[in-house]
Amino acid sequence: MKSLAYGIFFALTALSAVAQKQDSILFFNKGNITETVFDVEEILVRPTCACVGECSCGMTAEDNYSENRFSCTDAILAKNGRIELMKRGNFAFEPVMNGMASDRLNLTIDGMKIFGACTDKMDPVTSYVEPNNMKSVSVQHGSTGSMFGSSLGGSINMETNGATINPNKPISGEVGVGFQSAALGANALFSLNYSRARWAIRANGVYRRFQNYRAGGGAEVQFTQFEKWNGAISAKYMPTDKDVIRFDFIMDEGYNIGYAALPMDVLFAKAKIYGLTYQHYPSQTWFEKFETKVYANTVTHSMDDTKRPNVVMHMDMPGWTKTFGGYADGRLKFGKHKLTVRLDGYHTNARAEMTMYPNNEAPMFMLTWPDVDKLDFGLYVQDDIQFNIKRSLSFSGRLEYLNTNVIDDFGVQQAAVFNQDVSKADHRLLKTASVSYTEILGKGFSGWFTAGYAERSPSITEQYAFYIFNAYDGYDYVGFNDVKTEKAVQGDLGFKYDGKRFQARATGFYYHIYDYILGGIDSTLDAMTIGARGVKVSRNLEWAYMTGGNLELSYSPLKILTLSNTSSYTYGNTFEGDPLPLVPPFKNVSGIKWSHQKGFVQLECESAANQPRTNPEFGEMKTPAYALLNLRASYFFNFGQKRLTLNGGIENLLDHNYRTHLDWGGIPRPGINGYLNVSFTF
Amino acid sequence: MKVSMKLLVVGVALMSAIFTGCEKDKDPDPKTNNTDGLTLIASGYTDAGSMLVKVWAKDSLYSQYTPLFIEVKDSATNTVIEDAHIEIMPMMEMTTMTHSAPFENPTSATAVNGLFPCAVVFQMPGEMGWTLNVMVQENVNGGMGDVTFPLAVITPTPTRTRVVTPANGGNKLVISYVQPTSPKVGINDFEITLHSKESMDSWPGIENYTVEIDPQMPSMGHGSPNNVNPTHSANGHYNGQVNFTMTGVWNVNLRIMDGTTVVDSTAYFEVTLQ
Repeated sequence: MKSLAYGIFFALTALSAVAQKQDSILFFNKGNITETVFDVEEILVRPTCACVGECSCGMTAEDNYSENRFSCTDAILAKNGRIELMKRGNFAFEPVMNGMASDRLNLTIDGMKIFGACTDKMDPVTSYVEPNNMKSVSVQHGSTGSMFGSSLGGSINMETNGATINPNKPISGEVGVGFQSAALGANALFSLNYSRARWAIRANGVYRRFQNYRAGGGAEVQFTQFEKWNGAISAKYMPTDKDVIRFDFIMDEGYNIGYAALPMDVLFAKAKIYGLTYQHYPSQTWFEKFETKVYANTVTHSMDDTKRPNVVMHMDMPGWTKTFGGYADGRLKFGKHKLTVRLDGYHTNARAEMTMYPNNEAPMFMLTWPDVDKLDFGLYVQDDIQFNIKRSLSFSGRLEYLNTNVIDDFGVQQAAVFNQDVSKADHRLLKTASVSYTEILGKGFSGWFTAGYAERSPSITEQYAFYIFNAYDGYDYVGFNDVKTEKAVQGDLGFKYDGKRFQARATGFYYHIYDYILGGIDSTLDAMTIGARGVKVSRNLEWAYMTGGNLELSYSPLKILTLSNTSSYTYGNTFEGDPLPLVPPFKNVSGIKWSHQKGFVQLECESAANQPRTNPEFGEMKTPAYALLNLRASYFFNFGQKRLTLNGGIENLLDHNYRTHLDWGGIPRPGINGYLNVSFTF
Repeated sequence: MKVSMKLLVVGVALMSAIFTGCEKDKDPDPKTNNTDGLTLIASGYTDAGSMLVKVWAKDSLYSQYTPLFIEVKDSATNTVIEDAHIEIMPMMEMTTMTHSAPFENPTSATAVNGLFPCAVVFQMPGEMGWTLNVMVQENVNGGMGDVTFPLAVITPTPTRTRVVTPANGGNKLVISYVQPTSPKVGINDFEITLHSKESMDSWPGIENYTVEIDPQMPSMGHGSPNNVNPTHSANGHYNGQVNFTMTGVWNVNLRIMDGTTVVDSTAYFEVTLQ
């Protein structure tokens, strides 16, 4: 533990020493630190996303956020054509990208690794950044996302707002309230930024309280309530014009969160996230930027079955993760080459317990996650080569060393029951490489392709789960210590056309996954959970593949009128020809938007085809097709520098009763839902 | 650096000298603490041979498989006798009849740490009625004698001995739980004894049965995987492995067979993991 801390410390000091040698020249090209220049430059100089090939750097939170000030982060993510949401309640949906869920994705906040503490994935990382604290989301697919860690599906990094140094406007902020009808939900938010010449501090918070929602047709869906608040404090200090020191603290607490599709709810979910960042913008033309960060976070999660009827036996299921880590990266420039080098490391501990209380008997205790330590170091290198104005090539590669240990002897003894020896450390070396080529093919017309190879380590559940009940397929899951590293060979292809009135973007992807990790029924094992159908043990399928694509079209016949259409489709099979579980069907969102200088009106039709391709062993249900109409509008009033924004709308206008294929337990989504939000920015 | 190395070597040498010295000092009286953690059950003089016999056990006596430790001293010199042939005989005297119990004599004439280990399966409880006769033929002075102790045997919770009438109508069968005594989540050594009641005074161990175990959590309705069925080791002891996947109350269900004939499938032992 200590040696790790020293290791990270030395690595960071070594790198920062390199950076310290640089001489001082203003890094602001435009010279003076005026408020606007400052603001803009800071965003530009600090690229929110180092895109390689096809990715979505442009997806700033602001674009989507402006449509509905009270969106949840997951809803904003879902506007990306390749991200779907897996739903278990009405709270904190788990993102699924390219048909892959969080085990196969990197989810980071400002580059910080955070691991959910819930064995049932009730607490995806996306729930910890609220939109009013989000500057941008960078989405990178497959092997191109390895800057943030090894993964198959890609990386989603949420960049928080942070404090803004803007001496010309010492105080700025926002307050707002919102209401929505389907769940009688109330939202309130605020943010406040205080700035002096060289430093600034920002605080923001969100409070949400939702009752059970009503599905299409009016029926109340039990156990979909939730209450949460999220607060963040960010401080920024610039000792010189080329140094930025930033501290961030995020605290998120949810209470009484219903999970209709699961047999239990959440009593509370708490996260504390700390980050300290140092950025340096050297004067040399070849050294663009140096950044280093240390961070720590804790997540605590506790499930609750006391409000459920017919509970056979009360149980407690708390879970904890504690993570700390750091990284240092530099961006260099040599001629046609732009080089990014990042060294990162983290240590995380995950523990989850389950205690059942039978009447008049000794309680039954087990470790569902057996106190697992993970120590990880990674080296990432990216080289962007701009051959000429038309053609560019990117290489990226990552080498990651992961050491996993079960530290509680209780867990070692438990696993011995399955003839698994988890007493020794598990070492893995994970390798990722990608190459992307982009070419401008004509006026406004460009194309790109990516080829890559990626590996990912098994999740703690996949490796060490001890009878973790999965409410989707009704099986208890048992991990397999020696499950092989999952590998993928990936190809992505895309075209983009940016015309004056017409924009189009088409992408296609193919992931050939070797040693695909999936639970397989072990009929020799008895289920632990009362009513479970059996036990599944992690195993590697020889191979599987996932393919799909999306098409985004946008046409503005008039300046004030935009027609848009986004379609996406994913298809996945195991090597035996069985459909992979939880693959979304064809989906389409069409919209017509009438814009005014001070607002807009938008009619949106969201539809999905039925999904007849189900994995029977996974207990998947076929999902019928659906189509919804959403109406949204926004208008603002200016009072000098201040602005009052109203936005409202009606979602699921026709009160259709529907669910998406990724929703657990056949629970319908909300029916007709009117919302109205008022916010005041100053 | 070199100096400190030298110092270290000297230190190590000194320490080892001291420790070996200590061990030698201890040698003459190594049994001072051999009964630590044991409970004195009974003590008395033999009718002949001038010997003091003490019976020790790990706890007070329960109706279960019970390891006993016999200590024999020369009553004149109070020295511990470590070379003796010892035979024990437990008896239960009831109003209408008298019977013995399954038991295991010390296997060797040489004491272990000054004690002669043996065992009795008290197949029933009795505050009164149980006696244990200990016959000693010591090989130091050639003395010989015996002593009989009254014993109080109480019922353990949970039950640790089952006396069943076999389904196939043979002799009564005494099934006794030996271990795990401190059960834990994970793999546990599992041991039971099987004895047959051939007559009131003859309860030999059974050596040729097949035993299957099935641990179950009664309140959950599930078992555990990869248990190893006990097989006969010696003197009616059957050793295997039982796995517990969580704390709580488990029943280890037994199925005892003579070849393919089921002798008993009703017996079980309850095990609670705290």
